[in-house]
Order: sequence, then C-alpha cells, then structure tokens
Amino acid sequence: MSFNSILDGLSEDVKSQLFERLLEILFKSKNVDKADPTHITKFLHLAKEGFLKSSECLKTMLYIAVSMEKEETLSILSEKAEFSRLHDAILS
Amino acid sequence: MVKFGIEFVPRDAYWRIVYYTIESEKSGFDHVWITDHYNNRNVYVMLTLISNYTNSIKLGTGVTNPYVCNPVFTATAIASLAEVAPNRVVCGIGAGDYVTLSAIGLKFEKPLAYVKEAVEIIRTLTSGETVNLDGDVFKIRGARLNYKSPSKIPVYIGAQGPAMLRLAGEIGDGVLINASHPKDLKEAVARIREGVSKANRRVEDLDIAAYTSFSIAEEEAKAIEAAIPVVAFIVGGSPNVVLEKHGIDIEKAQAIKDALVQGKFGRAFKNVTSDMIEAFSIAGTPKQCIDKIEQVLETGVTQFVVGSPIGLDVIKSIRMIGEKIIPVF
Repeated sequence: MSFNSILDGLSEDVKSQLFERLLEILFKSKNVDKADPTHITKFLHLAKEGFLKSSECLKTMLYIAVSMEKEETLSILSEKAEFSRLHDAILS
Repeated sequence: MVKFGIEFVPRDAYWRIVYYTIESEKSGFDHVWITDHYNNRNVYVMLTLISNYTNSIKLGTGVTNPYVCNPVFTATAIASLAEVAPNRVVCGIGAGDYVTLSAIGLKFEKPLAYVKEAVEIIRTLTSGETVNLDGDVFKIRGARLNYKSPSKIPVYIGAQGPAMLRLAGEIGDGVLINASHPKDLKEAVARIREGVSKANRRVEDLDIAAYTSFSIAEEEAKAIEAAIPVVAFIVGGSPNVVLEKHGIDIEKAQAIKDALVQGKFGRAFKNVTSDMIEAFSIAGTPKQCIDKIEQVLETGVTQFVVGSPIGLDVIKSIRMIGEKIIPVF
C-alpha cells in the first residue's frame, strides 16, 4: 500500500499529530545535510501554499525524516496504532 | 500601530530559516531581519529564497556593514532583491562590532563616516543615479548600476552609541536600536530625536525599532534557560559603563568575559544572573512578555523586533507570539 493511500485514510486529528511529530524530527535533527533538496523544496512549497497537513506534505516530511533520523522516525510511528501501517510501509 | 519584526541568524540550515519565516508571516509578523556575518549563510541568498516562499513580510538585512561589504556591492545586491520582491525590501546597515571585524583583519575605525557615506552610496545607486563621492572613507567616481530598484528601499541604521543614534535620526528611514531594556531604549530614542531635530525632520517619519533579545515560553524558567547563552555574550561584549548603568556586578561580568575568551561557555553561562537577564533581554511567559513590550513601546519605539533566542523551541515560540502577543497590540 502506498504512503498516499495510508495517509488519506487518517483522520485530520491524527494527521495533525503526525505533522507535529515529524516537524520535531526535521527541526531538531543534527543531520540537516542528509535532507534531499528536492524534498525540501517540495516541503517549503506546500508550507507556503498552506498544505502542511495534506497527505502530500506528510509524505514529503516522512521522506525527509527517514533520511535524517530513520530510527527515531520508526520509533514515532510505533507509538500509535494509527501510524503502524506507515511504519510497515517504510520497512517494506 | 506597532509593527512586529523577527530576527533569524542563518547559522542554521537555509530551509529551516525559510520555514521559520513562513510561520512568522502566518503568525502576523511584518518584518523579517536576517543577520549578515561572514561565517553564516549569505544574507542575500537567504532573503531571495525567503521572498520566494512568502507573500508580504518585509525583507531586511539585519544588519549588513560597510567594512566587510562595500556599499556598491550592497546596493547591487539589495536592488536585485527588490526586483524579485518589489516594495518588500529594506536595507539594515550598521558599523558592526570590533570582535567580528578584527577576526578578519578589518579595523573598526570612523564608524560614523563609514555608515553615513555607505547610506548615501546605496540610496543613490539603487535609485538609478550616478555616484560621485569624495568622502572620508569612500572615493567613488561615476559609478552607476545598469538597472534601478523598482521601488524605494528604506534604509534602517543599526545603532547603539549616542553618535550613531543621532546620525540615524538625521539620515535613516528607520533605526534598529540594539537594546532590550526600556531605560536604554528611552535614552536611545532621545538621541534619535536630537538627530531628527538637527535635520529638520519629523520623528513620525522614522520607524524606530527595538532590536531585542527575546525569549518566550509557557514557563518562565524555560524562557530564561533559552536566554542565558545570548545574555552571556551580550554581557561579554558590554563595556563596564553599560554594566554599571544596570547595576550589574562587575566581577561577575568579568568572570563571564574571561570564560568566554577561554571558550568555557558552560562556566560563562553559569555566571549569568537574574539582573543580567532583566537588563539585556525580554524573557518570560506570554503575560510577562506583554508587560515588558508595553514598557518598551512607551519609549517611542514603533517596531518591536523579536531577536535571538526567541525561545527553546523556535516554531512553538513563533506560534505563541502570533497567538498571544501580536493580537494584544
């Protein structure tokens, strides 16, 4: 199952929680050099347009978070049952 | 109506600074000020990128200086930026500081002449005119840009000492006062007014900004924790006359200076006292910050700039200011 279809199935509240957790990883990690500039450009564009909590933005943030802090990202995705399919999708 | 500005230091990754600014614009800030130091990411690259991801926030150098960057280059950089983001660009310029300049072999001399002549050069070039200046420090003959800024670029002068504050009152479109305490700001505004009178201008025509060291959190202790390193460096760079004015223990301040020189930052930070925090920052809960901002605005300041550190968590702090501070004013 693709990230998009999993994310589309999440409630707005769960998406909001996921967004805040991913934001923490993106802005607290020391591995800024591991972030893909293409994904960063997409993230900033979606932020500007006000689509921060859209499935597309969350997917982009997941890509960035995994590249910067894979273990921590997986750990966060293990915290809630609603995130578990994302956890499995990353590992598959 | 008071304006709110926010300062970012591009020592952090470029995309984080851009994102902070997107959050700031959405939170109601009017100005973003990006610092200009040779050892951080380039201010014009940052501002250009920020302009692409924001819609209305004013974009300022906070501040560039005419020792490191020749004003002819500043003029072409800032006019180019204005072409990208018309009516949104302001040029903050100041003399810089002795420590940074000496590290790259530059002498901190004739600061008033450097700033005054640089402002003249920048204004003339960005308006499409030719510069002929036989100044004390700059000698320019027939220099002209092949284009001009599509809009007027206001020049803000970064100032702290009395002479620079007067000069800012004489020639600036705005002033960036490097201070946080109402007592310092009140004195600074008085010096600016002297300059305004000398030039037969109206003080209402100037945007007077308090460029503060600011830290906000729901718990006062966390706000102070974030402010301590910044205050240590401010104390470390302050002459005794400034410290005495605020009743700061000179021995404790000297201990901080010594520790910073030796690179022992932990020891320096441990010596920061509550009266140092009070004198050189605005740090506290939203309610405490509102009270202090009100005192700042009573001095005649028209723009309140939230400077480093902003808070332990920058994004949460920006949102907190947008939700709990800006709407109050």
